[in-house]
Order: sequence, then structure tokens, then C-alpha cells
Amino acid sequence: MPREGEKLLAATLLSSGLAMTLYSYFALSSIPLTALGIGILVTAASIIATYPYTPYREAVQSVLHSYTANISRVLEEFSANTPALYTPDGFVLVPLRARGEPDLRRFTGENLVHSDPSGYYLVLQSPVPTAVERGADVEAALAEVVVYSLGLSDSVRVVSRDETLILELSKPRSFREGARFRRVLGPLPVHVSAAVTAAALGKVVRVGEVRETGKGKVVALLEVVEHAAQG
Amino acid sequence: MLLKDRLFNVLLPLLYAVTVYSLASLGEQRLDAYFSMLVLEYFVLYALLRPKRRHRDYIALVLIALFSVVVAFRVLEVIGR
Repeated sequence: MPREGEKLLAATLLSSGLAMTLYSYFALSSIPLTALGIGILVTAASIIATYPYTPYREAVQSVLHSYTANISRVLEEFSANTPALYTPDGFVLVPLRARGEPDLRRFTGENLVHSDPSGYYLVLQSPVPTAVERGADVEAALAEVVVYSLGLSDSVRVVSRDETLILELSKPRSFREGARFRRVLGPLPVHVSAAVTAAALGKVVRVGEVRETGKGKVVALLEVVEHAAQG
Repeated sequence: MLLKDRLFNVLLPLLYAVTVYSLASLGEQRLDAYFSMLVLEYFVLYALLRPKRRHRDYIALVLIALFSVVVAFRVLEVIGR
């Protein structure tokens, strides 16, 4: 329903609910109708208070499609094959020729390619649109960004187990990412979720196994990388 | 709105209608009984569907405050007997 229609419905319910409540109580002395009027008022208030559909959702989807296509081209050019690392400050490090974990104490994020004793890493900026506070609740941060801001899935659940997080996305949107994108970064909803998780935890995170279960759910393992020394 | 937000706004009035009809059929004439059921249903449905709100859930705050007042009056009535 368009937003104007929702506003009109809410206004109609509010006015009719108020009229019904007052008239039923004072004029008709009917308790059931008064209760019904109160119910209509609560319903109207709920519609008004519900988070509205963002008019920029289509624009965001279009930008994300372009992002996916551009990153896929870059990954293809560099022949990236290894799962990327997500840093707490919003960067994605794609191992090009690297062994072991990077030393992030010397990482500045200014160059396209970061080199350190462990090898070379392609540096990308993660698409996390809002500032995620370090120490924030991971599931709440994921719901805010992945579900409500970007509309990448209908809901998200996180279960922590030691240094691994099991992420469950319900009905994630498909962006037809290429095989290399999925291998290095994961499907786009998982890619964004990993970036948000790294920012919320304040730790380096890597996407592990990603599985599509039945009923439109995707389960992904996010591993906290212990050995990446951080600045 | 997401589907679950719409579902909340559809199920809530349906539940209210069923509740009011049921209690009215039983001859219930106490407004606080109706109100208590409406508040309970709001919170149960909210816990199940968790609709996203623009700001804090002020509806819940108002309902809980009014519910407390209703319960307080009822308790005073019982004590006063």
C-alpha cells in the first residue's frame, strides 16, 4: 500500500476509533463497543508508529547491483580466490598472494593493495552504510543494517559459539553475484553481515561455510580471526 | 513496511475483534477486563512479530501505564471490601 494510503487509513482509524470510544461509552453506555473503539485506536497508533517503507529502497538495490558487478570485475582481474578478511574499521582485505594472517598494525587503508610479511591483500571498502558502534549487540546491528536499512533479507538471527558465529538469514535477496564474488566475499547479504559483525565485535572476521537450507534461509559461519594482529 | 510489520497491523485488529466479540458473547460488562485482554494481545503479538517502530514503542509504554492504573484500582477495590 502506498505511504499516502497508509497515512489516510491511520487517520481514518484514529478518528473513527476516538468517535466510537467516546460515543459508545458516554451515549450508548456499551462496554463492548467502547472496547472495540479502544482497539481501533491502538491499531491506528500501531500503523502510525510502524517504520515506513523507505522510498529509496529501489535506489539502494540499484547501487548494490552496481557494487556487486564492479567488485566482481576487480576480483576477476586480480584472480582472487581466498575468502576475504573483514576488519572492524570497515575494510575488506582480499588475499592475493598471502599466507597466514595480515599484520594490521601497519595497515592504513590508503592503498589499493596492502603488503606485509604475510603477503599481498587487495583493500576494499565494505558497504556498511551506517556507523556501527564497537561493542553493539551483533544481532541488533545486523537487523538495523541488513534488514531495515538495506533490505537484504527479511530477518536475521545470530548464535555465538566460541569464536564462531552462526548467522541465519531469512529470505535473503539475490544479486546474481558471480562465482568468484561468492567464493571470496560470500553472497552479498552475507558479505554485508560479515562487515557489520566485524565492526560490532571490534575484531577481524572471515566468512566460512555458507549453506542454503530449504525454506529460503541461508546459514553462514563467521569466524573470528584470532591471529590478525590489530592496530 | 516489511511483511511482518504488515502482518502485525492486520492480526492485531483481527484479534481485538475476536476478543471483543467473545467477551461480549459471554456477557462481560467490565471495561477493565476488555482492556486487559487488549493489552495482553498487543504484547504477545509484539513479542512474536517484533514490528519495527519509528522511535521507541510509546504505545507499549502507554498501554502498560494504563494497565497498571486499571490493576491498581481493582486491587484497591478488593482491599476496600
